[in-house]
Amino acid sequence: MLKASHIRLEQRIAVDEFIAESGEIHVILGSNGSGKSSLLSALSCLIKLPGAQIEIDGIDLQQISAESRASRIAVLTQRQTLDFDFTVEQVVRMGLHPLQLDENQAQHRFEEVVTALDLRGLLERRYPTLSRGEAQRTQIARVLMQRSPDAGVILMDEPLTALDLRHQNAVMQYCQRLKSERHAMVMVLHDLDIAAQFGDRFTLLERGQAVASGNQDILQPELLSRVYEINIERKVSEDGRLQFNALMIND
Amino acid sequence: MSNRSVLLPGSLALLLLMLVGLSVGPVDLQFSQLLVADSTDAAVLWQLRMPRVLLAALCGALLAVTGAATQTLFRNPLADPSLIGVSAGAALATVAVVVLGGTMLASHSLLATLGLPLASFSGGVLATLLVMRMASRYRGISMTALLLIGLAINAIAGAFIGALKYVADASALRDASFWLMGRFTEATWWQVLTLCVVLVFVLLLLQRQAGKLNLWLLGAQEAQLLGVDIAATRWLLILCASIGVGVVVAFAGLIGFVGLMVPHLVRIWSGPDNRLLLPQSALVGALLMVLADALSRHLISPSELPVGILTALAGGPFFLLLLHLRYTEAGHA
Repeated sequence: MLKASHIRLEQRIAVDEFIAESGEIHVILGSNGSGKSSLLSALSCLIKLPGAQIEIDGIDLQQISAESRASRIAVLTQRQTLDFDFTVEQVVRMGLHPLQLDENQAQHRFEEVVTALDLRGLLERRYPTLSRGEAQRTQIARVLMQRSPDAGVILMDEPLTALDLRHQNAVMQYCQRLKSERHAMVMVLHDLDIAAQFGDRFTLLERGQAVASGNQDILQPELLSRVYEINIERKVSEDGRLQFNALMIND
Repeated sequence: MSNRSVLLPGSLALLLLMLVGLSVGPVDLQFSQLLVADSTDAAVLWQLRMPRVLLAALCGALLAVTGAATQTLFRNPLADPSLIGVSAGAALATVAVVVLGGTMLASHSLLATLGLPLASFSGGVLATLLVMRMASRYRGISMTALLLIGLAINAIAGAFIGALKYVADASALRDASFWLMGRFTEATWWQVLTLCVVLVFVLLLLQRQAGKLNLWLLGAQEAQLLGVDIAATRWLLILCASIGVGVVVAFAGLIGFVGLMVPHLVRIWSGPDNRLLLPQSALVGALLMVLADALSRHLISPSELPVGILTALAGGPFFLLLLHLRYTEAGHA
């Protein structure tokens, strides 16, 4: 379980409490500039906040070394640049660095991640030659290689950016499977339908503040319309899924 | 990516080339005379050519390793100490010490052996810090800023060096001019020993961290999230690069482009993994420099070319080619 309190950074973010339970996907929603990435940076201790408390199972993340933090929490940031000709396989295996896995465990995990993210045919490709979507899948794979062998924390900032629909589905399905390893997963998503389908808990950010937090009952059209500043309708499909429809204006 | 290593065949080639290097020069050495004590041939071999060839090999190795370290530091395969102003900073500090403290240095050879590299090293550190600070952006380091800042530092250092040469007396001027072109003519066993210690020190330090240096290339945030102490890594790279550039500039002057060319050639062969890159760069750098030194003595024998002119002649076009490839490749802009 990831528990954070008193996250405050100037004008950008003011969240009093944030909890991500083990074995759940916690989705952070909000418009551009609402503080989603700042919240994730704070949770991953990339920015140190005086007064903030960030704990995994009672261990204060701000008090331990970067090395020991990296074995508990794996983070996908929003943009990566890599100008050197590492192969996809080399980049993916870099995720193993902070962990103490034996060769069998490492190989098993590598095969699983590569299959789940459909990277088999790309393993020998040089990273700088990848398309944006391929690079994104490679980085997701690296981060998921880094997940703690015990119940840890996985943070992902917009993991589905640049992915086609099939690979968006592949990423979300794999994350769904990882729930059984009892990780607390936090992700920033923009697609409300996908969020509602895979998320267990949601936090809505508006101008740096958490305006609502809870299960999918908080995803009400009035609140969403206000937060995203566009009219959003909510429907329930025949098989019981929530579906959202933003009314785009075309004049 | 292949794990092919050039270490064994490279070492053999280096030994052969060094033998060639020892045999090149205005005096033809007689093999039978070499082991005779007090013969001229033995003196030429042990006091002139041997330290010179070793100095060339060590300078080449260090320049290549510091080039690789600089490229890692800036996460940019085109960064080279001579392009981004680190060598110029080191050179300015050295010229200042030579011109302003010339008589004091001349009377203390030990002071000259240690004082010049220290001054040069300090100049290199200052220039690196300045470039780091000015080229760093919110995310990563801007390539354009890097080269432009290098241009400015080179110009400023060039102006100060020019001013110092203007006030220098004739012999100091001649010394400084030849030294700035890069040359191994003043090789001593003291310098060989110092370079040897520095090379082992720098190579061991970097090699031990080579795995982490790979993670560093993913980006500062990514490296930190993978457990790398990024402040420590940054300082390690700055110190290693500046020490390496510092001693080479102090002993052999400005020898450009080796730090750019060698790691590039090695990466084509065995990929960007620092664990393979660093030792192989050292070896290939030594090879290239011994070859360049032998050529510089052979081409217009019995006179000789400053070796820095040769490396710039090869390196300038090589850099243009790299820029061309980089800016015509899809996805790179």
